[in-house]
Amino acid sequence: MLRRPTSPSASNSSSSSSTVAAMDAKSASRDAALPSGFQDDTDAATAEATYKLPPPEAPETIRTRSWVIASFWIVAIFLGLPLWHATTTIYRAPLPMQEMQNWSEGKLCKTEFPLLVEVEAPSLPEAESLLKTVQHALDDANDFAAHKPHHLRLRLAAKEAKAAPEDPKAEKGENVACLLRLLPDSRNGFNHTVHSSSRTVDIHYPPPSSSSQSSISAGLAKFVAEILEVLFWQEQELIEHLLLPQTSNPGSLNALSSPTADEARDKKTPPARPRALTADINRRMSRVVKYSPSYHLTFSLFTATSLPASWDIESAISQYLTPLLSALSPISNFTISTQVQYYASISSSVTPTFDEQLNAWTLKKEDLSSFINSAEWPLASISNDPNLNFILYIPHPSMTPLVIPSASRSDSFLLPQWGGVTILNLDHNPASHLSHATLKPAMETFATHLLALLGAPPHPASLPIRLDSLTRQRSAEVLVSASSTLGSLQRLVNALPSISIPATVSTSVRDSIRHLSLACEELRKGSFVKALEMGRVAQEEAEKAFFERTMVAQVYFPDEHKLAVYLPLLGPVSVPLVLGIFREVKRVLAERKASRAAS
Amino acid sequence: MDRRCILVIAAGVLLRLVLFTAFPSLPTTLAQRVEVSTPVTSYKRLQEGVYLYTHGVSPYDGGVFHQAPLLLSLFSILPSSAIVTNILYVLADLFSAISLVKIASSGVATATPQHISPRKGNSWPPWATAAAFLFNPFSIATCIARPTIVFTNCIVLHAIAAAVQGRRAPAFVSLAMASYLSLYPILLFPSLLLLTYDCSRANPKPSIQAFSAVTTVLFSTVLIIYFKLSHLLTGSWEFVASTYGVHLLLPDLTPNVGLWWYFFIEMFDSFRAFFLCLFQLHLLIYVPGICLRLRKQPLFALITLVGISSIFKSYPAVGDTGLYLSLLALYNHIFPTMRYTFFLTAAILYATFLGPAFYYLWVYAGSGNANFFYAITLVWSIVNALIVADALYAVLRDEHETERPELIGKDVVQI
Repeated sequence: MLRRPTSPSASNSSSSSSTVAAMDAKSASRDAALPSGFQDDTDAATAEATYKLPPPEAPETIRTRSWVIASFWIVAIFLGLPLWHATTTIYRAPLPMQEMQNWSEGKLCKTEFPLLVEVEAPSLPEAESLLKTVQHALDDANDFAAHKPHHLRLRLAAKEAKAAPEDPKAEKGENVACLLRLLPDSRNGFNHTVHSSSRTVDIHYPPPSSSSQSSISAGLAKFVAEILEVLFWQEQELIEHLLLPQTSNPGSLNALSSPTADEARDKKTPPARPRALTADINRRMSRVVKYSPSYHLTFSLFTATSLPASWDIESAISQYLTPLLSALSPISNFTISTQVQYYASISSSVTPTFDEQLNAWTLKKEDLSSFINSAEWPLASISNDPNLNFILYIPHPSMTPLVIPSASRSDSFLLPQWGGVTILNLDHNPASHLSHATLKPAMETFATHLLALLGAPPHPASLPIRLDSLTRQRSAEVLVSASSTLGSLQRLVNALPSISIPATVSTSVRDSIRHLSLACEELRKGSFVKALEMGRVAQEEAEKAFFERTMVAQVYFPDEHKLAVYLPLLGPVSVPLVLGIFREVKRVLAERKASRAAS
Repeated sequence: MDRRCILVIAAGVLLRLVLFTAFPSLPTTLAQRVEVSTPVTSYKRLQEGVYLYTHGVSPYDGGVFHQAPLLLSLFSILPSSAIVTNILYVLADLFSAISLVKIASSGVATATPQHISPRKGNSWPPWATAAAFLFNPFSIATCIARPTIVFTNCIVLHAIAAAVQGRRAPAFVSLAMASYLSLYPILLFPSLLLLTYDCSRANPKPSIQAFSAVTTVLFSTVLIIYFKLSHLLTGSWEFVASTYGVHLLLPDLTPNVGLWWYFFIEMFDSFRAFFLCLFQLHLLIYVPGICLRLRKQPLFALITLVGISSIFKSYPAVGDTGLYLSLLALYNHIFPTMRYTFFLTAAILYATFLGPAFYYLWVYAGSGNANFFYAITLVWSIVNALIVADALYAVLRDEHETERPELIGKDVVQI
């Protein structure tokens, strides 16, 4: 191992080496720190003439060099490669892909809405057989159109229900969709009245004469079936429309539309479906705000002058609106704020014209959309929930009365997905305070607007039935939305193998699927409020999974970009490593050749 | 230690004391310079940690303090007066200088059992080496700014001084302490092992395998004791993640003179883990190669590794470069063989003056951006890398000339 400087192995006669010490007699006296490039040409020429071949490298030096190269490679291979693998492998949590697809295609849950209709017929002897006939007629209609999600089931009211027909909800739970009361009425023949505050529908029929007992009951059966059709057709059409996979309903999350969904739609859409009806539903749906578990309502009084200076909004809300809001509470919650704005002018682009015939100022229909002066009216919401605005506008006395000319001289209009506006025309010297009674018609209009904005069907007159209908409609909506989000996620994950799937996405998806099936079960049982609750959770979880931040970040990082990430650093680093091993291999090969030649 | 050494050391200590007393605001100003204090060494953060520690709050909770628990207990015992602290830092530098004198006096730089430099006669006397450390502006600035790297440097120098005297136990107890304080000195373990082995005067000499096995056991036992002690002091293991985790994972992207901060600000999140591993591995990859190639001069292998880690570690500061340059002064006999001394001196001055200027432009004046400062840290790192490479070249040439003395004074050309 020991090598004394006094005993150099100086033999200048061998062959191969990559570095050569060029001896230059003239530069020997020079500072050795001078870089080689500083030599002038004549020196170089003489240097070339006096080349001496260097001595062979000592085997010890060669061994050291091999070891050094090997040590670099050993670290790179045995530490670098495993670390590279461990840190760049994309974690993809397992997802129930097949299940997600099935949900998005609607295979797992046949959305049904079993509606229980109770019939009360105190004075009809063979009510049972009547019900059977009606049920038969309804079933026939359902069979004819197999895609209809509703299932009406008739039941004769129990004895207790008869005792307290006003309050069926308390006894039967939420399962009773409506209560039919068959009452004989000799004066008017067949007709029906819908109670506006309960689920009861009174059906009047002419009392049977003893001779034509069967014909009466046949006529009655037909009439009852018709009534039921009328009661539920609007909702039925709407839900059917919602359940069709991804039609043009707004807010659809179907990011990657797949051909299968289109096919399914083509297949399912009944060709005979009236175009006008679809258009009507679309029009109605386009008004409806996106579903949210809570909304913020803003009531604003905008007056063109300084009067009226105040309004009795609190008591008006508590009297006219709170009952409705509490009835809506199973579907959504509401928070309310109010404001008053004086000297509020309508947008400058809107100029009412005076109509001699009506003796009133009129707003043109096309002006209504730009009526809101969004530049000056402080209507920005501070709440995180979707905001619905209700505006009570009091025009300038010189422009009173201000009306919207339509079939009926109306003074209110609805702005789709935004809110409602009511124009209140006061007499020429307005009071400084708007009383509670003055506000009543406006509040009623706002209530109607609110129901329309939330998507409650305008028909029938009974509020409980309409709210039930809204619940069903919303649960269908969240189910469809959650399933389609799951489907989109599934397609996304399939389409982009390079995105990572964190464990949170997997749990969210599983949660969503669990709640979807729970919701489906609840639907089948007929408890729609619970179904809505479950569906809401399912939708939230599905969206949480779909919009996971870390996953989205990876979407825009294709494989080709990795080259740009690795190469700038690893390229230069690997050049000496690769060259080192290349030279070493070359040397070994040359040595072998030399030894073969020698032998 | 001769009279000149004592004079030089006294002058160095005096200079520091004068700077501390004559410019009372200087320590605070320097302590805020990103070039001198890093998140893992900063004196300000140490004070914060000590405050929390003495008030019974875990200092590692807030994500501000990233230094070892034993430092905490040291500073919580000390009376909290600036003078005592300043004297402590001056003492640390004093011990560093004494260690350097010991290393220089041992003559290991010029003559190891396997190699004797033909330029042996050119080397400076020990006091000059001490002076190179004590009057190095980087060392002075580091001492005044009081980052805890001063202690790490002092302990590393002490470990080397013990190693060149062949005293294994003190060398490795010190190296374990240095690794415990700031992690990266652990990379010096193999070279220090070789140095201790070469200098040990045990008779008969044990085989290198047996020697390294015993040393490894000793080193890890001491390290475990330090960890256990820290655990006892803080009552939990959270200091591990908060000190070594920060060195390894770089959560704090405060600018410094190193190459990491800018790179990891720009890094895609998904590749962060990979490039962290790559950067750490890059430090590690030099260790076996350099130890193998410089087997005849383990002290220089150690110095080169100090230089490499001062460039490529996660939170470097000028204090690391100061340590490297002071150690390099031990090899002054090879300076004439270095090729780019003028260029390197000029470039290091350039980076030293432009660095603070560009930082000012970026952070205070707002007329520059992060790229200004990053560009100058790149220059700084390149200069340091060139110094390391040039010194390595010079030592290898020196080694080559012991084998081929007829080549002394000739130019080397690669063909």
